[in-house]
Amino acid sequence: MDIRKSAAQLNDNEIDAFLEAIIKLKARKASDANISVYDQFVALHGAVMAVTRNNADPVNFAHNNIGFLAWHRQYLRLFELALQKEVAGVSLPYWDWSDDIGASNRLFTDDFLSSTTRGRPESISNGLLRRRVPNNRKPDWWPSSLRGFSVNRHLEEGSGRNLKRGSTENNWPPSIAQMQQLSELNISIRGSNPLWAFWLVLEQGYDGFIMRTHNAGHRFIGGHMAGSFSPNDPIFWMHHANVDRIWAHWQEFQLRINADSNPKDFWPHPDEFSPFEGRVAPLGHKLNDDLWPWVGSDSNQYQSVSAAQTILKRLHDYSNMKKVKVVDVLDFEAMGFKYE
Amino acid sequence: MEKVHYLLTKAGPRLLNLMVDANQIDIIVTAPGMLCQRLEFVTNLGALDGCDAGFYTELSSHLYAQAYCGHTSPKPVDISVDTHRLGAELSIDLGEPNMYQSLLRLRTCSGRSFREVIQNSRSLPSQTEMMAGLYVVKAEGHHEHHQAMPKVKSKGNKQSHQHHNIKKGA
Ligand SMILES: [Cu+2]
Repeated sequence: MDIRKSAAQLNDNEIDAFLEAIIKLKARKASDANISVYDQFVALHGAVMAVTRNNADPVNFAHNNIGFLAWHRQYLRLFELALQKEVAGVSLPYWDWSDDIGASNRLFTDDFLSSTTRGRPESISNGLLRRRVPNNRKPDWWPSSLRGFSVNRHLEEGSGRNLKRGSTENNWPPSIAQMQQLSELNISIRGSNPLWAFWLVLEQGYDGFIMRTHNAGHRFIGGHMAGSFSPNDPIFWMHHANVDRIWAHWQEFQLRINADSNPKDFWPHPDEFSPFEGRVAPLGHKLNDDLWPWVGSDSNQYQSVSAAQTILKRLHDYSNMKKVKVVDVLDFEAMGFKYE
Repeated sequence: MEKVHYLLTKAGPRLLNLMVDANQIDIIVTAPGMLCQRLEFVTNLGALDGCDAGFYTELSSHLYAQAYCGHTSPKPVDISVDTHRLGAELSIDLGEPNMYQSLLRLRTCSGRSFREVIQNSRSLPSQTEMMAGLYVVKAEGHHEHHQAMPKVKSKGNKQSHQHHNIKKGA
């Protein structure tokens, strides 16, 4: 069982192992495309924005509806397994948003994930995420093929090949009390599954309630993190590990307060109408839907229309992998990880 | 002066109160260009009450807005008055499309509150009781279709699908 810990609580060895895994994955050439394995993950995030199945209307499989939670859980787990191939035993740390002091003292530092900056997006200027890392700053495990952590030219989205950050976000961080409130959010709109309201607040925030959640975090970091290829910035993985942790806590909370329940009870029935849209969740977001691109031999039925050919041809081919449905990712311990 | 902020989300409020004692309103917009397209000024008064085309033009000259999407530097956005068979229409752009969110900071040029700027318009009889707000116009395009495409350099931010563009003019 992999234990995911708060990034601000990692010891020096754990920090070093995580950085080693990230940097090595960035240097690791994919077996099936001219791109690194790390960047193959980044490309997928841009490709999932609009995917059509058998030429039906395109759907964002990963955002803007409840499947946001399931898709990113599976995406993060595959990324974590890829990291473990580089450095055995690492797990994804999470960025605990409400521990702002811990984040500034231990996470956004020269020694760990480089600093955040305020104002207009600027190139990262310290730590190992610079495009050119000075030789005397490179740890002994640093791959000789890599000069620094540069953004792939197909995935820079107009922000350039130096990883950038910067924002004017004042609406950050959320308080500990708000995070607690969110993981115990139990609003059932006209008897609907409480996941709908929980997901909305966690992904988008909600006015007058909790605004400082997933979307706000992307803009708080800014730069590459504010675009479709946000996983270019490794903080993405920790940001989403925290999203996933809050969902995990919410699932545990629901199981606790509802006797004899199981995780499936806290995902809407496939026929249930969204209280926001008055119709069932779109393809990829319903309980028994396959999560693209993990659709096994059905992959030829799907086509991403959100990314250019140069990007699509570099995606990893998952057609030999077992299919993954929403229902398969509800039990995170069965997937092999939990949160500290 | 009071501080006002709004967050526009899926299934969130669609009408934002502008009759506030603040000279700056921060509006966080979820997925501009994908969920929300622009903001439109709405009021319960018509041209014979004073809210004629001149009122809209005057109001637009008193407002200033910038969008901060995080991906690029803050940029001023268009506040425009269009004419329509139905009457004049004041709309505020939301800046660059973004899949997460951006901040639209709306200010009065004079530093007076929005309430004062609206009520003290030369077109309106003094002390007019009125409602005024911004209506959130939904995005009709599917910007995410080419969200991850290489950026095409174009003038302005009107990047939505041609066939989805809102027809302007009479
Ligand atoms: Cu995402």
